[in-house]
Amino acid sequence: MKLYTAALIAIFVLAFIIRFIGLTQVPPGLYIDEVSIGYNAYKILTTGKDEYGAPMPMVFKAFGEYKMPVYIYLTVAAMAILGKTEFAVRLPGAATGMATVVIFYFLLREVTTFDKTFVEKKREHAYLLFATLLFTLSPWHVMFSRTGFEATAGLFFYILSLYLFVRFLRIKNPVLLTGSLLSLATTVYSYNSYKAAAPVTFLFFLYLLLKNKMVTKKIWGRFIITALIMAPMLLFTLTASGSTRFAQTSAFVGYESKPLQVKLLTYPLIYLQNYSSYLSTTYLFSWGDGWDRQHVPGFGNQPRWQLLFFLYVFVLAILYRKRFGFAFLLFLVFVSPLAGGLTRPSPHAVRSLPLIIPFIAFVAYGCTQLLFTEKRYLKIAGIFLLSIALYETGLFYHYYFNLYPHETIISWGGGYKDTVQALTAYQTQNKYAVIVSQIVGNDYAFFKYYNDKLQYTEIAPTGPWQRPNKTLTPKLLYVTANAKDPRLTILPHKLLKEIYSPGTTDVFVRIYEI
Amino acid sequence: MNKVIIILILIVQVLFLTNFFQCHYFNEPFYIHTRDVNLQLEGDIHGSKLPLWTIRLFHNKIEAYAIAFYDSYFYYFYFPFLLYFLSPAGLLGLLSGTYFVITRKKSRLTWFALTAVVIAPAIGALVLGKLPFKISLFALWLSFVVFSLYGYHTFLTHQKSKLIIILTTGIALGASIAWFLFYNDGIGAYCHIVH
Repeated sequence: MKLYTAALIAIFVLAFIIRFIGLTQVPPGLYIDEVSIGYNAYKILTTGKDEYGAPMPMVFKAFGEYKMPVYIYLTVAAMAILGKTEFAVRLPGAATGMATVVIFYFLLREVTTFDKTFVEKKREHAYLLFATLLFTLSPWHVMFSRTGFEATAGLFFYILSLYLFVRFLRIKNPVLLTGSLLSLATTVYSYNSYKAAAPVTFLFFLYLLLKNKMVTKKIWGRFIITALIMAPMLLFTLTASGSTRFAQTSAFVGYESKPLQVKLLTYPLIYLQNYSSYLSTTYLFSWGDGWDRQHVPGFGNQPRWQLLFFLYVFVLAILYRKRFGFAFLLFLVFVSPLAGGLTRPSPHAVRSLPLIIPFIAFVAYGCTQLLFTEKRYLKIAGIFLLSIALYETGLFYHYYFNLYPHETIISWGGGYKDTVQALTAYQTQNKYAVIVSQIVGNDYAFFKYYNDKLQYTEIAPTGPWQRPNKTLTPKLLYVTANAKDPRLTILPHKLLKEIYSPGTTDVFVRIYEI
Repeated sequence: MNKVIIILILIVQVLFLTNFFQCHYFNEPFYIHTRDVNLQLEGDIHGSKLPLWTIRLFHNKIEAYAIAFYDSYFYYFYFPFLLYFLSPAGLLGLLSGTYFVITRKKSRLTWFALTAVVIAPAIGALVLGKLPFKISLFALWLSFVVFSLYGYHTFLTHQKSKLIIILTTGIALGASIAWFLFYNDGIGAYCHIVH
């Protein structure tokens, strides 16, 4: 028992270290959503209003979409303590990520206690330790915990809701159900994917309670109140503003103009194709979703060695689907890609993050089976797989901490911070007017976050040159990412500074006096 | 009735195979490219100040080729690809086959079907780029179809409810036909189409 507790604490310490060490260096810089979150949090903290002047909004207008409020308000709290720092922007992600590891352990412990047939008593400790360790080391979860993704906070509230619900099934303390339903309602305000997953989970909870004849008037009341809490955000999603993000990412783009009967036939097929991509080995184990902010290039969401365990236990779960533990995890497998199937690109690691819960529960189950096997050839296979697992874990963390920051610097807004600092210095000293030829797109989010007092005009990267009317000062600074910017062939210019992508010899932008 | 269903599913899968006749070769993820693997290895360590032991441990050819093989091999089981290659009905058969292989006693037929579907992608990952396209296409298709039909056949023989059989088959065949007629333009993601 003491050994078990010590091992568990050691795993939690490891989880903490992996999620917090060098948090602002890896990934290397804040990306566009993080600066947008950070700036809005800063504005709320200092003025009580968001960047558009809306007081304490329920949804935050951002570039071309609306952001959910939970992560932003968590960042407000972090900034209140730590100031406007990069660490404060990522702290809610790392903290909720760490808490998710702990709750994941308690969730599985609750499942194994509630369903005695799920894992044998003598294997329970090994199973829980395996599961918690795998969650701690999971590349998928570590990547998201170390970034200011809204989805990480959403996952925390989702898993908390699941844990409290299963505990309620066992202990029957109504406070647990209230907590569970409130957490579930919070997920809807945390990340868009939960607008699909949370209502389905809500119905699943209700179904389980009805099945166990646990529904009383008071419990109905709790469910109704939860539905009322979720309703404003769900209804907002149906409005033109609320559906902006879905309109941008809809999987059905290109089919709107087709006849109705073709739509009725093709939409389910598109959904089938997208949905199936989330459960594919290529996505899970080989290449991830292809976005280098969401996986390390060359690696999948989870280590490759876990494939066989996942496949085997997934089939076992279908076979023993009448056992609560398996049915519960299978439900999570099927509910996790629900929202992702409606969008493109598919698969998408952020939109299917809850899949990590049943996934690791399955793999840990397989590992435990192998650990307790009495078959000699399986023991040998186990040793072989353990060696591969150790090697692959080392390989991933070697890439993540040593190579990934350099390879993906541009995706993480590399260079913006230095650019804004340099422009601020020039503007302060020499009263330059600044003209920025669009760098990547939505540059203003970075400029606002790093210095919202910087005066500048952004122009399209191509097109005829026209001196902006606003700039009355004769001194102009021209910022461009294009080394062969055609405007420079007609404008007299002097190169003042080259800003490099941090840690590389690649020029991010050049600053000219014109 | 079971035989009729199996024949119908086979016909659908033949139809889906004909779609691939417009292709010239399979796209890159399906097989290992020696040059790409070597370039990746060199790219990772070029200009880096990693200690020598790290380079030897994590950037060696054994590791790089093992990963390249693994990724190419399992790309054959990428569900969106299989929907184009085998049809939704065929994919259902494949999943059903996997389920029964793991949960039931294995007969000779099972071993035969399983061996084909396990080995064909392995050969594909290693030599697909060097074989004539139509031969490799047909060999791959056959090995997958045998397993898929085995899976569907096992499903039909184990399922006692006729209603479930009719519903499942109806939906699977309906989806396959709709796919073939209205949603068949994504094949270019998996093979190079001859224009």
